[in-house]
Amino acid sequence: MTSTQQMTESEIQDQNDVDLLRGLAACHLSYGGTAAARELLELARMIKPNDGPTLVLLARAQAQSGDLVRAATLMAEATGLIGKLSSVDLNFARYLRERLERAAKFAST
Amino acid sequence: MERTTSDGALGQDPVGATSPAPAGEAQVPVGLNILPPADFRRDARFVANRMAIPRRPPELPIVPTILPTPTPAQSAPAETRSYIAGAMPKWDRLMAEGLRPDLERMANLGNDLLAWRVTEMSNRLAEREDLISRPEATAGLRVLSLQALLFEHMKILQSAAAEGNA
Repeated sequence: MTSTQQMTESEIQDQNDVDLLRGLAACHLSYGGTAAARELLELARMIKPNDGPTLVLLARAQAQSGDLVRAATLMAEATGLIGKLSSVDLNFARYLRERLERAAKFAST
Repeated sequence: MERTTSDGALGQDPVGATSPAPAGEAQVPVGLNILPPADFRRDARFVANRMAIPRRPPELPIVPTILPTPTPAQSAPAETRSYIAGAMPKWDRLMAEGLRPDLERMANLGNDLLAWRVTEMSNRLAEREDLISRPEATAGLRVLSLQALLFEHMKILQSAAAEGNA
């Protein structure tokens, strides 16, 4: 087995792990387990740092926790990685922007 | 003394009722002193046996531990929608929130297969030097380890329930 094949297999394994971790995190998120979801997603991020869907889900978890600034930062990072967001993710990004604009307006008054 | 009602149902005499006594003897109050019919006692034992859980749930660890080596399921269950899909509340709303791809991937794994995969992944990641050397990964590994135990526990309960119904 060549080193290229090993690297490919390792990458596939990492992707499978990240997919499963993301699925588990989605389950926790759906039941309101934001903290557990965040831990699982951070673990997935350590295994594969540049995974767009993981960052989107992490942004959702952060938004549910109330950290909108970090959520927006993660969404921006995810957009750079994914390129084009899905309509659902786009709606979520718009929601984040509106909330942050409202907060900024409130702070300036 | 067993009594039956006119429709053949459980034969409990009403409290305070009296049994017909032979001529010349005083009537004896019956009711609470009468044992339930044999069928009733048999049914109660049947229910009690079915409710018994054969194994205690495992203790939850505080720190990540290496779980027993799992064995893969011989075959995935016929139904691909696992309990996750069945128990998920407000499925449509979750779909609309963009969790669909991840949740469907989870739901399409059978219960046994899911428990095995999560346990196997938990063990493998807990041995990865690049992860356990980073303190910030510890919390994620602990959650994963607990998740694996939870799935294993649910599998045990489901097997017990299946045996009980057999």
